[in-house]
Amino acid sequence: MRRKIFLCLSLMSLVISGCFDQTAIEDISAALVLGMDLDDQGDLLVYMSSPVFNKEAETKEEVYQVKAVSLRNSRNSFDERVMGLSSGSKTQIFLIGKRLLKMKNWDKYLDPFYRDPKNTVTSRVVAVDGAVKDIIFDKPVDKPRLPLYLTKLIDTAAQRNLIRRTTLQEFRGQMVDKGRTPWIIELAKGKRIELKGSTLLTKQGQYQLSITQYETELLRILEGKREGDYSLTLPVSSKAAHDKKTYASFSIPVLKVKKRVRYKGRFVFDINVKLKFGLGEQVIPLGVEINSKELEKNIQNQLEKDLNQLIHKLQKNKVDPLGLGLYARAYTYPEWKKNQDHWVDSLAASKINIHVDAKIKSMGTMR
Amino acid sequence: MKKYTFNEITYYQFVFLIMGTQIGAGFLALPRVLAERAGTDGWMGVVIGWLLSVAASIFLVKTAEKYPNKTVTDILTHLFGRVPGKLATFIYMLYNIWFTWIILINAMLYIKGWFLPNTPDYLIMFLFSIPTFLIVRNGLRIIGRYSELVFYLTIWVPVLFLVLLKDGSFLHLFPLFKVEWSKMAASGLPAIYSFLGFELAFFFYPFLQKKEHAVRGIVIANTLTMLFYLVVTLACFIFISPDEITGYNQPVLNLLKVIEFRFFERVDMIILNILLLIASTTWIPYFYCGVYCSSQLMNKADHHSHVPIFLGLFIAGTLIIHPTWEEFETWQHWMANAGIVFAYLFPAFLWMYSWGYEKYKRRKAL
Amino acid sequence: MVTNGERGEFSIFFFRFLKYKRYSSYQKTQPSDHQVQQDSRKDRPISSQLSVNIEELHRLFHQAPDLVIRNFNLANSKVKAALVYLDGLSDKNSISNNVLRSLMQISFDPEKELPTTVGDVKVAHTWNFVENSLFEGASALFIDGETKVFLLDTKGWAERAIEDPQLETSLKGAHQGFVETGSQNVAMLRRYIPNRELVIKEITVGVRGKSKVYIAYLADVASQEVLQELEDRIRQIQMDTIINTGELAEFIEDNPFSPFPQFILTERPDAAASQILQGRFTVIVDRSPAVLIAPATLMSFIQSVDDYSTRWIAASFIRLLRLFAFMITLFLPATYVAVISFNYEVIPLQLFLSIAESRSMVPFPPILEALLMEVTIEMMREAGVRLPAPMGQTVGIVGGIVVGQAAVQAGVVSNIMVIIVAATAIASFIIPSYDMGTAVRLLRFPMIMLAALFGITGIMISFMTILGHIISLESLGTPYSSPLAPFRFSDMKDSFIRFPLWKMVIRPKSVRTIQANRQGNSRKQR
Repeated sequence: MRRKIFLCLSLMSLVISGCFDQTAIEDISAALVLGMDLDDQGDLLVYMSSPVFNKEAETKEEVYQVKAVSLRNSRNSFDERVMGLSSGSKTQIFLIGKRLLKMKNWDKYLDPFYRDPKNTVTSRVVAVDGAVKDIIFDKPVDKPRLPLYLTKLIDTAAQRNLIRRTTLQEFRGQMVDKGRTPWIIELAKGKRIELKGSTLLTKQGQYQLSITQYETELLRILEGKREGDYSLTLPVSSKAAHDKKTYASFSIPVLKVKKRVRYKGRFVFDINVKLKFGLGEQVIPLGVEINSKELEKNIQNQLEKDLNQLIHKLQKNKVDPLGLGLYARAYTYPEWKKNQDHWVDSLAASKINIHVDAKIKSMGTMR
Repeated sequence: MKKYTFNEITYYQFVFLIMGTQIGAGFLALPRVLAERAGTDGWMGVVIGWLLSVAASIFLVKTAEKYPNKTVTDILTHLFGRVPGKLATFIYMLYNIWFTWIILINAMLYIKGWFLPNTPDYLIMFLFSIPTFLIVRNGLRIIGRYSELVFYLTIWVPVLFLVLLKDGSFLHLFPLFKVEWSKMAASGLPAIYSFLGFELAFFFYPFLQKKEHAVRGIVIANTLTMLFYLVVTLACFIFISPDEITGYNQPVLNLLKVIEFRFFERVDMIILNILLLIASTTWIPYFYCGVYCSSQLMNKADHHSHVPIFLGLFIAGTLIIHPTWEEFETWQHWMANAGIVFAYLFPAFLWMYSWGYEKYKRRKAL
Repeated sequence: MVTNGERGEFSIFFFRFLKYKRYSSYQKTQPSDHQVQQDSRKDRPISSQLSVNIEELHRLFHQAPDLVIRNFNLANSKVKAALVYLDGLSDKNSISNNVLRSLMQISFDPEKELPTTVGDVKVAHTWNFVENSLFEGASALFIDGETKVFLLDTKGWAERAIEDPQLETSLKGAHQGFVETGSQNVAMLRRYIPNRELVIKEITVGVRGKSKVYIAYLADVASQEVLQELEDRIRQIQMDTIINTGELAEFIEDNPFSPFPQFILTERPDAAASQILQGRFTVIVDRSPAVLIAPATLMSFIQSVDDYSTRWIAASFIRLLRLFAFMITLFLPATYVAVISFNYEVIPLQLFLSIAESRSMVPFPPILEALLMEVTIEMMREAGVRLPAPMGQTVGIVGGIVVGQAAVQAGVVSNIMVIIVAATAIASFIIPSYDMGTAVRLLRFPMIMLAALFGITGIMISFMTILGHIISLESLGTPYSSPLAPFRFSDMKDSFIRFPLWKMVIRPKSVRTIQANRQGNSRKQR
């Protein structure tokens, strides 16, 4: 019996001494926003913004900029400065400066986020039009702490489809998959922080093209996923209205996009956009009436024109954020096989037909 | 004469025992292994593996049917005589114990890698051994109940994968049959490994209450396993791009990592712990069979005393060897080959041998 | 089955706690003859001389001031007689009116019938019987020249009136609870099941003070095997005397090292009757208001009589609520500790920030904070139970202010921990069975420890251990975890969800009844 008790006690002490992996939640300096940029010499700068949990602290946020050779390497530098243990497990926003974006294969720096299971992969990848430090050191007084503000800003804007919320995991897919190129959020700081549509990168991750918020919305329509709301404002021309500044705003409650691909010496894509819109606003002079047929026609033509323009822009810049390559692979596999390594060139040479079919779903409460 | 009446298991317990034994931690890496061989057509490998395992398990049950109240150790002694029978039992014991060890190591490595990197491995092993001890000691009936309960407790896991489908793209799967047949068949091989576990039906069969449903039961178990693998593999292929998938060790975890709910995130962390439940229904039956063999070797009626001994050996083994992922993978490779022999070739051989043996005996009797 | 030596070198004391001990090992020990010998020693015949008998009585009951010996002459004769009874155990009114008066006034022949007007008269020839009867409240009539003693049923001791059960209050069930008199309790069961198949088996237990134990069951429903097992176990009890049913339960339960109760103890006759109708056994112990019901399953501890008198949808909701509360009690504090000290990744951002903010003030590690709060709550609960009602309220107020506000403001514990602990406490009180509630509350402490050592993995391991323990647990040889494992669909109708009564045609299979179908339970077709 005494031996058993001894055995039990020694076992207990073994177990008790085993709090090897404990890290209390308040000792974590969670990097809610991480930023990467290059300085004038072309060295990597890493930024981190983490919340401070203490009532005695005046500001609730600590923001640091360190020079490092890699992300994991920067962690040590942060640990030398911040209160707790810096950790990437709660990173919400990943800011990438314009300078870094112009470098090839900068995505290799993201490796710790894919490799270390503790780190999250759902942080939003954001391109900064300008320097990261302008944004990360900003302290808007009318907003909650910056990370929360940015997260909310992005998530709500994504609900209106003004941007595409690309997470780290998706970003990797976009980088690695041969049939598409990355498409990330663009953020800039003029007087205040604002979202500025999207940044499209090349296969090597290099900055290629910025598109506006309107174009992003169009791209989302072409993508065909109906998450959240669309709100588009298009000019409408009418015989009755002589004033040129007539506009209609509408949402798209029903959206169906069909993409087909054939190979006839080159890839030929047919993109059929079928949508039903709900009118939200009509900026026309009093007394003028645009009949619904006219409105449908107007919007249809305008959308078709803008979409075609956008597609040409993409083709010219050799980017494929829509992942048309996936369609090429799925339906014209033998040809894809030959073209997969220079897909964007083949896309630039291919023919893309866009057809829009717009119907009114509702006119609202006004005639 | 019914030797095992006390430990009878029901039909459903039989099904869930086999299914539980088949589904272990291996499914986390399965989509990657399949994709390496046959790209996004790899999921067909699961179907191929299923066909083969169903065929093999039917052979196995047919052999066991000839000796309804004998476990494999009794059958071996009956067919080959005392000493070769003992030898075969010994080999079976090694196989089962080794399998247990590998599954335990695998679970331990996952837990260590994801949650407790600084906790000593033998301590984690000790933790695993507590429930194992409690359950294995009480015999097959309790193990059957355990498998059954775990099945009901984890039935929601495949549904989780379906949640993700809306974010994925079915385009990844097309075109079908893009690789040659030889490659597709090659993808059947890793799938075969994932179906290992039904060979324990040899041990379970004499305990089964309604023996006439054994064939149906084992086919249902295999089919359930196949469906689970299919859901997991397809979810991975649909969600993760085909160029990307081979870059991840355990694509299933990468898949789960992105699920976020309003009240909790990082579903992979939860699933990895649920995995302990799933993996335990693998190692517990293997361990029971191993201990059963060892007690048969010692001519002991019950296996209780052997359970703590082997568990102690496992803990000591971890303490001495400190297994790593690389070692685990080599061992697993051996194991997979041994599994092919035990699960696919041996039952077929035994079936033919017993057929010949009985014929010979009958002629001799005449 | 298992003896100590066989368990081998690696059997560790720790395991022993959870060890499932096969009952059969002490079943084989012979029922000792000790009891019988002791009885026969005293069992001497009654003398025909009254004076000798009186002397013997004085010798037997030395130092017993409550022993009353009333000497008198029988009516119209010189024959001496003595009426002996224990003061306080017998009804004085009945003795003077129905016994003494008639004996002293009506002449009779002692060889024939007594003129007394009491309900029951027995004749004894040996001292042993006389002694036992005196303890049971009978009065003994010794007549000079007779070698027999008349034992008159004049029982009557101070009894508590039938009241509302204290521990298990019910909203719609009957408002009467068992009392301390065994025969009264049996009568209460009879009132619920007026059927001659309701069999009551009497067993006497106790070496020093005998107490009567009754097993009540339906003879054509309940399983004979289980009855045999139950009876064997009760007969083998060796102890001074049984004060309470809880003591009996401890002597006959399958696994004494388990934290879980293996029998239901109830003080509600309606609950007991409904269990008897399902084919279970009820053990009534004289002098104890609690009644033991066996065999029990885990699920039966989250059931309550009220479930059957409320509408089935509402009852099902409450069942699920209880199950949820069960889980909360077991897992919530442990999960919280695990999450804030290991796996903070799983918390969404907003929650993460607020938890970290409230934790940042606290000087203790999470485990200490959790244990501190849990122990405080347990102390408050225990203090409230033992104190009389007016003072109990003070405990609540003091506890509420100290724990709820001051501790947080002083920065000793965090806000969120208070919420967690309070939620856990409330959840633990939802479990209808007091024993099960205690078991779960107890189990959460090792859970918290393991969570603090190994995070979610620790919780998972303890969950598996509990699971493994529950499925190997048995109550009177029937599986404790039924209807879950072994899975029995028909029993499921009365587990998580209470199906409408007319849908429950079959009696619970886990009880192994002889008569499988309930008689009736059908509804008029319309």
